[in-house]
Formats: sequence, C-alpha cells, structure tokens
Amino acid sequence: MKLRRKSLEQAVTLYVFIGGFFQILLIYFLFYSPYTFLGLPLTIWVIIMFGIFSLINGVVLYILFTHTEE
Amino acid sequence: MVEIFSLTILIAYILLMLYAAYVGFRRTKAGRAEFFVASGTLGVIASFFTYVATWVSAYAFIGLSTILYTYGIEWQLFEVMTYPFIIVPLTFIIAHRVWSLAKKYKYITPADLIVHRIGLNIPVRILYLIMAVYPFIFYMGIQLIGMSAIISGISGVPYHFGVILFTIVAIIIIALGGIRGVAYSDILMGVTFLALVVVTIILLPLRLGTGYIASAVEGPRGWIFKPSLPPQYVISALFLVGIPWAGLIPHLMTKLYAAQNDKAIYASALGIGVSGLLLYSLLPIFVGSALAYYWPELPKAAVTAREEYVTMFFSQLISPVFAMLLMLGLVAAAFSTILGIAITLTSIIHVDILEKTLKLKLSERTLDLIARLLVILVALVGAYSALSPGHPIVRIAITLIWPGLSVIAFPILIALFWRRANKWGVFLGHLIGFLSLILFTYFIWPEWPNNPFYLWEGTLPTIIGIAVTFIVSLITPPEPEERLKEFFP
Repeated sequence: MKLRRKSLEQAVTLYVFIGGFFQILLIYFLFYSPYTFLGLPLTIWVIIMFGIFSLINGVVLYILFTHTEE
Repeated sequence: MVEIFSLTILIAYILLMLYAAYVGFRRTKAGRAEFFVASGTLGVIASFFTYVATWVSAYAFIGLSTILYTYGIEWQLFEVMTYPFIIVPLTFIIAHRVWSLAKKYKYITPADLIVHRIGLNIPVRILYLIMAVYPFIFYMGIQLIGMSAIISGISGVPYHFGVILFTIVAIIIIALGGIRGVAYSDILMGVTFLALVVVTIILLPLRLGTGYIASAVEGPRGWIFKPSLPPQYVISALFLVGIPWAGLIPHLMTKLYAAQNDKAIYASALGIGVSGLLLYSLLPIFVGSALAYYWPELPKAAVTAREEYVTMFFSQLISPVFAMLLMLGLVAAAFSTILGIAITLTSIIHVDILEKTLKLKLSERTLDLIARLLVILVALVGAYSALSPGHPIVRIAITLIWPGLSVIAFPILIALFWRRANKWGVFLGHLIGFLSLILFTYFIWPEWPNNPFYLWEGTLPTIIGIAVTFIVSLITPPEPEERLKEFFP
C-alpha cells in the first residue's frame, strides 16, 4: 500500500510544529537545570539523543517518502 | 620544525583530489545545463555523497569541537537541535518542491526559480548575486581557516602558508570543475570524512579512557558544559537558522537541481540525518571534551586560529602522521564545500548576470572564463578574510554567514508555499531584509549580538524580510493566474 504524498507532508509539518514547541521548552529546562545523568550534564545527553533522533528521523522518513504516490 | 611525513600525506591527498576533479572535468559534456547541474542526472549514490559533502564543512569537522572547548556547549546544542525536528523532516518537503520545479522547468541557477515565480528578471538576478556573494566570501574564508589550522597545528608550517597553499588549490579546482567533476570528487571526499569521523569517535576513548568526558565535566574546564547564553538567543537561532537549510541554501539548491529523481532527493535528506549524528552530535562532544580533559587551561602555544588547538591536540595524542591522516577528513569536507559554492557562484555570474542581465554576445567558453575569474576573485577575498581570524569559525558563521543565508531563504520559502506572495513582496522582502542586515551588523549595533534583545544576530533582518514579504504582497495585486498555475496546479 502506498501513502499519499500530500497527506504525509501534512503529517510531517505537524510533527515539525509539535517538535519545535517542545524544543523551546527543552531549551529553557536545559539552561536552568543543574541535573546530571550517569555523571554527565543533561546537555550532553540531549546533544547525543538529538543526534540519534536525527539519524532515526532520516531513515524512517526515507522509508515513508519512498513509499508514497502523488 | 616542519613535519615532512605529515606534509607529504597532505600533498598526496590534494593531488588525488585534483585528479578526481580532472577526471570529472574530462567526462563533462558540453552545455550549460550539463556543466552546472549535470543535466539533472545524478543518481541516488552520487546525490547522497555530493549533498552530504557539500553540507559538511570545516564548521562541523573542526569548528564545533573548537567552539565547545573555547566558548561552551550551547553553540553546539542549538546546532544539533536543528536537525531531527527541523532540517531533516523539512528537507523531505522543501527540497523536494525545489527539485520538482527545477526538473520540470529546467532551472540552472537559484534565481531561475525566483524569476519564474515572480518575474522581475534583471533586478531579481542582480540582487540575488549581491546577497549570495556576501555570505559566500566568509563561507569560503572559514574553510580556508580550518584547513590552514591543519598545516600549522600538525606540520609546523606557518598558518599563512596554509592559507596561500589551499587558496591556490581551490583556484585550480574552481578552474577545472563543472558539477560532475565536483560530484566525483565529492564521493571520494564523503567516503573519506565519514570513515574518519567514525575512526576518531572510536579512537578517543581508546587513547584517553572511557571516562574522559566525565573527567572533563568535573575538571577545571567544566564550565564549558553549562550553557550561559540567553535562551532567547538559542531559540531564535534554532528556527531562523535551521529552516533555510531544508533546501533553500544557494549552493545546496544547485545540488538539488542536479538530482535525477525524487529518490535521490530523499537520499540527500537521509544523508543529513547521518551527518547530524556523526558530525554535529558525536564528533564535537567527543573531540571538544577530549580537549577540555587534555588541556584544562588553554595551551600556551601562540595560535593564529583557535582551530589549531584541535590539530595540535591530535598531533600530540597520536603523532603528526596519524593526526594528518585523520585530518584529511577535514580537507575533504572543506574543499567539497568550497567547490559547491564556487560552482553555484559561477553559474549565477555566467547565466544570471552575463547572459540574462548584460546579454553579452560572447561564446559560452568566454562567458565561462569571465565567470570563473570573478569567482576566483571572490575566493581571494575569502582568503584575505582568513588571514587573521578574530573569532573561531563557528562564531564567524553564526554572526556573518547564517544571517545572510536566512535573509535570502525566507522570502523564497514564502513564495514557494503561499499563492498570495507576489513580485513586490518577495523582491522587497529580500532587498529590505538584506539592507537591514548590513545596517544592523555594521552601523546601528556593531557590537555582538547586533541587536539590543540578545537574539541571534540574523533575527531582526530575517523577521523584517518575512514581514515585508507578507505585508507588501497583501497590499499589492496578486500574480496572474497563468503564472500561479505552474506553481500551484
């Protein structure tokens, strides 16, 4: 089964808006938070996690978009 | 003392790169479309590597590690945050739209898209050239800074000799290269730096011990891991820097035009996801922390560019020869970006200015020669800016380059997705955005961050450009329906 390209684009745009909103909250949290996890500041973990998300998003969206039709 | 072995490795790699560019040059067929956008025939693998290689530059390879070590982690934080929720997903939408229009209407230069959408042929092409040259001068400059830091930090050759050497190599490749040549050498470069990043990430814990990042955090330089910038600076940069990189940066648009099919575009977007993890997240954390662990106080050695700390560190850690092998990745990343910029600027000068604005009746070969000479001139100005860098290259990029690119991108983004955007809105959005950028940066608020609200340097000019595009479009008549049909069927 193929996805409609336009629907997928709308879903991805919504995802960007929601992701953007949470990023604003996350930045405020990180800038004023002294928390550490496993001996490292949260900022480092967030940088590593965002790197991993970046790869995962690339792979997942590649698979989804290569299975779309106009 | 000059390290002959490491210098020999560098020279050998440069010769290999020149050879790859020469092979591409020989295989390039005649014609502008072939020369500048490979007639839209680059497949999935070539597009993946050429897009990634052009994307990744000295900024990522050495700049982010340096800024983490010298200024603090927030400069890397906002950079990596732009990837998963802004750049990667939006590239699948914006870059695809740019590519599909280019494929259908045979664009060669970025301004072709704008002129097709809004008209105003000559003013748009001239303004686009001016707006693109401004950030590109510094963009070429920071690549030369990064590469020159290798030659001085590892081989012991003076920094300024490095600037001259790499400028000469850049000029030779600019003189040789059409986009096919660039794509061929980009495959070599992309493989080189992706492999070397992985090696670096594995190597550091082996040499320094697995707990070195935690030791760096607890050490005297632990302050670099605690953000100290105002949050509004990071938030404004996050969105206004990030969105244009989803397909509206001039030298990346040319790479999109060269793609054969939509799978090649999606592969390019996937490549950004891979780079986001390796080069913008892991590499700077591993290398920047290693420097903080190894040298809790800045080294006493005099440096011209702060990026030399990174190359000196690797030289001491694993010997100059192995350090040079690792840093070939930087040479690859920096050169592919310079070439991407050069080919785009050449196309803009050749097609937009000499052919479509001045309408010169000269042979294609002569026009191309003039265009290349002018691009070499831009590269020389970039080299001049690299002679005595006042800041780390990430600060130069964020302060001078990214604002220029965002001011260009947003009015185009609005024109691509909003039917009501018209010629006066987009043109004046560009013009007033760019003029306000120059005024704010150099005349009204010359001190960092070029505004009184502690927002990112490009925030006010970009927002002014966006506002002018919307307001002027709404108070002037819409574009004719025939024109809009081609964009919004």
